[in-house]
Amino acid sequence: MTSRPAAAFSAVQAGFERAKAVHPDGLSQSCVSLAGEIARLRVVGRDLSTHITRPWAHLIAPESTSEAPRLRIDLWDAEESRVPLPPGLASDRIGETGAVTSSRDGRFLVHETRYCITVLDRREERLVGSFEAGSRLPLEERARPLNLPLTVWCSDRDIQLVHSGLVARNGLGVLLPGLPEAGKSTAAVACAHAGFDFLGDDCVALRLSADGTFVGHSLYGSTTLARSQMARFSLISRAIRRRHTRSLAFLDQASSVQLIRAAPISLIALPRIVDSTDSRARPATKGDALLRLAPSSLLKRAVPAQHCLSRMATLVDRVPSFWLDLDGELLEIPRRVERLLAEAA
Amino acid sequence: MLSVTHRVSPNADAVAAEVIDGEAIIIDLATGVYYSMDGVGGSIWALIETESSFEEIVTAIVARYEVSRNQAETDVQEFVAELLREKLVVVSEQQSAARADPKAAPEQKLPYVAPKLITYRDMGDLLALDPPVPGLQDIPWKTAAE
Repeated sequence: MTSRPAAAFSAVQAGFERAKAVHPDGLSQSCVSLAGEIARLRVVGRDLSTHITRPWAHLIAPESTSEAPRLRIDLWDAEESRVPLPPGLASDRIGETGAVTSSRDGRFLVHETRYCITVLDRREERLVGSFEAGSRLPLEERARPLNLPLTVWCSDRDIQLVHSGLVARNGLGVLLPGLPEAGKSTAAVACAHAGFDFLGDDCVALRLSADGTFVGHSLYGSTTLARSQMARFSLISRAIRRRHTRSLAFLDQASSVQLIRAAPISLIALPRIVDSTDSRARPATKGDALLRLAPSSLLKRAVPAQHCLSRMATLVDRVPSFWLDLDGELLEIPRRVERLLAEAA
Repeated sequence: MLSVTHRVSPNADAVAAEVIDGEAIIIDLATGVYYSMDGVGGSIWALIETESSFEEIVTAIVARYEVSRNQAETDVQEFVAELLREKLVVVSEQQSAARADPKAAPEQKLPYVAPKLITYRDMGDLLALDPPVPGLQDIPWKTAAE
């Protein structure tokens, strides 16, 4: 007997094919590099395509790439295509936070929210999805589209998504982990504003290379700072696309901000808010680093917790950690990070 | 109260834990509360990860730190009781021969400080306000062998 998640995959896939057939002008196709893996993306619906691909503008792979896609993503906009979601798929478990259902064998993962349903076939590495209306995507989805199914897909490929900012200088990656409101997004954006390469402010991917080094990968080129914080970054404020209590900006549109795809992790800088600070570099213990990186990277995330924690422990064991004191002087943040990089070298 | 034959092991269904540089970091995946313990506490947790008995834990602590057996027994009892209250460990009654401590005792014992569990509830408070998506904990993952 076909499980509900398996049936959902078939139904959503069939819906995509129908949407593609009835609305061919609305189909767009692209390839993106997600944590070093090629994903082929097909979207029926112009608004949906625009919003889904926006945070990946710096990750677009050339159409002519000969590399076969590892992940295939097919999405459609029910409103624009006028192809509704197949009946019977709405779950009575959907609340404000949505719901996740796995097939018993773990092959299919269904993620339902108030505005979309996505189904990931983990064995075939295919992701299909239907969105109610691309023009009404919530801010979180515009900032970090498909985050939950992509987290699962990454985990299946032994790629860890961590709750951290990531910037780089001269090819050296600086991880900026921290709990919510710890200052990691502010620190990442401040560094980008000052000329560091930007890879992310909240969610980045880590891969362990064969030689034992950790490489950080950009997943999203967006940032969602509080409005008051965003206003302090003049270069970035012009890239703001949505304003609410938090503003959404795409940093590839900010002048003088450079986005890159990957950098080896050379330093872990732990943001902490202090009243005042001096210029001394204060080493942090490995335990301090793990305490700042792990909890928010594991809790509320679709990840194999013990494996991810062990991997993060390996990271903090191999990469030096320092405290990054934040006392409200935004211009000092990148200078302090530069000093920490010199100290860690 | 623990007896000498009681075995203590991590509550693997509920927590993720790592010991790094002698410090144990433990995360309760259901509540969002996380913990750290170093020094004697870290040593005790490392022994718990090998499913040591109460007797084995006390013996190892006495071998490694400057502490009397009576004091070590009292402190380990209290510490494990706290770990049990926080649901970080489970206790089982397993009859088996005492295992030799695989680590050689240090030539010079380390100064002893009573084990202390440091508790962080900030993520737990956030989780209470904004709980995770239902169903996340039920996602099956491949094992390392797979």
